[in-house]
Amino acid sequence: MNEGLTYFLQQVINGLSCGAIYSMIAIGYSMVYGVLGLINFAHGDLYVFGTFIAYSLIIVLSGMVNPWLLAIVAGCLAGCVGMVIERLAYRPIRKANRMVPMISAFGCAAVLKTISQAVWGPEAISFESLSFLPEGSFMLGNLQVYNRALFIPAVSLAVVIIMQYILNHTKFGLGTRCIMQDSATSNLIGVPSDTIIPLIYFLGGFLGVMGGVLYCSYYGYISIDMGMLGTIKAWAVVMLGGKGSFWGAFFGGLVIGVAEAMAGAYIGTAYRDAVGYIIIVVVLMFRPTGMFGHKKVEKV
Amino acid sequence: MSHFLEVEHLKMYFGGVKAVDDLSFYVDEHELLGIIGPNGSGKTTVFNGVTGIYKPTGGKVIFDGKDITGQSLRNMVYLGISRTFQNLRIFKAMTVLDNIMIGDTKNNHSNLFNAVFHTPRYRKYEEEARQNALEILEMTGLTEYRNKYVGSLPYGMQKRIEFARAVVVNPKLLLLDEPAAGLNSKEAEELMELIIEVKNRKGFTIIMIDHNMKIMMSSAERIVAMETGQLLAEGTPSEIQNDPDVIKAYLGEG
Amino acid sequence: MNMKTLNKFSLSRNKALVAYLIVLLLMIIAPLVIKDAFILRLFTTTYIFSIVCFGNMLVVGYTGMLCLGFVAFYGIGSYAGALAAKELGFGFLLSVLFAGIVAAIVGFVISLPCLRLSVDFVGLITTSFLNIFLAIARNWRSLTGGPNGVTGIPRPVIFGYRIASVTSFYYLMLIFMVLSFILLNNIIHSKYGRMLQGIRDNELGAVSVGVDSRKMKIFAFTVGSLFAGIAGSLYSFYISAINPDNFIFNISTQIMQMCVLGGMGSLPGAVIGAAFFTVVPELYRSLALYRIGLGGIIMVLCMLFRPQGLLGSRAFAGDKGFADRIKRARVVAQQKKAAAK
Repeated sequence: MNEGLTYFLQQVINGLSCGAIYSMIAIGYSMVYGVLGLINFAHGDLYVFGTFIAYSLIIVLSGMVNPWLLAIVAGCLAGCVGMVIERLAYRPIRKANRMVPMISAFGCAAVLKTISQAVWGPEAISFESLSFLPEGSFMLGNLQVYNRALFIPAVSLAVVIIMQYILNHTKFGLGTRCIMQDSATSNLIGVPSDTIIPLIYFLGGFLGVMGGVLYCSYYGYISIDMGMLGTIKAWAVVMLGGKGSFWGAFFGGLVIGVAEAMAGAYIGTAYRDAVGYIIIVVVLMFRPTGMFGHKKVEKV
Repeated sequence: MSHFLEVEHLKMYFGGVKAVDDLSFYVDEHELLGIIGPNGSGKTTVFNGVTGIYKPTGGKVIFDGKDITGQSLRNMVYLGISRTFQNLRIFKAMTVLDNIMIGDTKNNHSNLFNAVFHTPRYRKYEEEARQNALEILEMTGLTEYRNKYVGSLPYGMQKRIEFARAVVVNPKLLLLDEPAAGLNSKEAEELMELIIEVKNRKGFTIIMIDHNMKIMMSSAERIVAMETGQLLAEGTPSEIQNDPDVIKAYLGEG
Repeated sequence: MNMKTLNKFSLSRNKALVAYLIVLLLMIIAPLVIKDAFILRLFTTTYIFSIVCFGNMLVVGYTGMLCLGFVAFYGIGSYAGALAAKELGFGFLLSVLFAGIVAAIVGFVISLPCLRLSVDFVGLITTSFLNIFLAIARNWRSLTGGPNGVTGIPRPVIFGYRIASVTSFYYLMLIFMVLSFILLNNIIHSKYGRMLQGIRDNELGAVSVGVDSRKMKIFAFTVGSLFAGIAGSLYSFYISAINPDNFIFNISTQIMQMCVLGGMGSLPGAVIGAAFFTVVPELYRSLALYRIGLGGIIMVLCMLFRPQGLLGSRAFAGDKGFADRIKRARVVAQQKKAAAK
């Protein structure tokens, strides 16, 4: 293989890893956004909060317990916090003008960020010592493939498949699909929204933390500023992939990851983020419902 | 002879669904035409096709001699057509007066410069617009509510407000989509009386969709009956009432 | 109409006018009474932020478009004004005007994709644009000075009079704020304001009576960014050095907080909100660490108990009020009776 091609493929692989992480975070986001149409501005700060908790748990219990187990615990905790937020800050105003719960979410994001800041400080904290991702690499011809570059997309893919299964083959999933289509009618026919919706938030928070753990492991640090940035990235990925579609979130994340890697390699790291957004805007202009989205028809 | 509004072979297909399937009818000036049909027969879709909310898949709409097929909703007002909606599209967070005054957009000629600096010219146009709105409010019996927020008023009154807004546009043709829906029979009768009174005073032509048979039979001069997107029957109220196809389709309606 | 009813309508208008004049009077005499430079500077900053909030109100509060990256236009105005004064040698007033126009043009361009797409996309596009703006500001060093920004912005000079003292800045910003308020208030209480609110409340309904919603949305965005740009350039002149960190997403959040608290869809509310979020954090300096969190709690409480903020429009009031509940119960009862007949 010639050097140019090697470099290109290297970037693609980097992009896929990074993108798969975006996918994970986006899937968590997609649950709330796809089902309720609520732009969950608190998603990012919640998963950062949860990831911090995972970090602390691991530092305290270092070596004794498998870090992934602790991450799951942290994820559940974050999920519970998500449920509490739903009960207190979203549910009472679910029926109000669209912007009201969104602004409330903004407020919750700010509160979470401040709590994280108060407990763990405003500085970035290193994630290097935590062993979430597999070490090592192997050579594919001239290409160096890190094991983690296979691990992350695999985990992401597994999550999507599991979530898709839950959506299509469980009662919970059925209820979720009902609410997605028409929440008022779902209520009337007895779908237990007040049970399902908190669970959706729980899953959203849990998956978000899983994604957050991967993200921080990959980049080696965690900081409170990741929160809102993460939310916006997740939102962008979900829009690109199509509201309410897990596969959309998955592929959307991959696309953005690869695009950013390309931009970073060939244009310059400065404009990496920007490129992602430009792509999204362009795609949405030609296909407003995203890559896999369904068009919701409003009765006139 | 040409009619005021001619709908010719209108087709509105959405994917596989033929919401309106080769429908033709006409309305003469100053007439009150009623459109009846079971839910899903395509009545509102006809309105949507005529007023440009959806582009017709086929067919033609000719109004006052001009081909207006596929013209956008916004242009309707300038062509002389206004409408009300089945699911009430009034501005609930604004006052009744403001709701009516928005309807006067077409006629209010003040421009941005005038508005920004509140010039005497702007004030003159605003006063004219307000007088116009107040006149319509009086005609529709809403004067005392003019400063109330629409969202706080009862449903029946909101329907009247939407009607008043469609009236202030001063159209030649007025399309009313289920004006009596959700009203009890007394309210529906009162609204119908108001509609007829305004129609006669202003010389409108009206096409009306509704399920309230009593109102339809007593107010409409002619009726078009639809079923599954197609024309079922057409004629005077008594002709429709005695039409065997209509009776078969709607036994018990009303 | 008889004279009695016409007069009744103008009386409520007059009450508002009197209230405005009293507040204005207080603002004018404040520097004569308050000698503390720190407080005067707070007020000055409030006035600048009020103008940004006015612009935000127009786009979000009156037209209902969820514009989350609004601070980008503020930033563009800031840089445009600073560079115009420093590199192009424009005078103060010309720089401010230039900044406003540049911001307005950008706002115009950004508004175009927002027309075809739904509400959510507007939020995403504006946020994306903010990120792009920040990326450019941080990296196009030759133009923007990179992360160090633009420094040494000259003091404003108006008709030979140099503005440098705390008091003169205070009055300068007060004048701009009052002018902006009057102009925007006029627009809102005209047919344009009605059309915008119509689009906010029910876009299809507005279009059905002839409102050109596309043109009006572009209009709102452009005018909103115009004012944001003007505010931005005023800010540049005020603090004489700007850098990209002045315009991060947090600031956009703050602008939202100000508008939300003051009340969406209310210009005086914007001033109150701006004042609150500028002055209060300073009074509680010790809690600076928790500033954002406390602001967040206020937002949540606000949404739970009074979504329309202090003076905001009912369009944002949501389903909370008891009066609404009673009315709705009545309507439901009526419909039940009708169905039973």
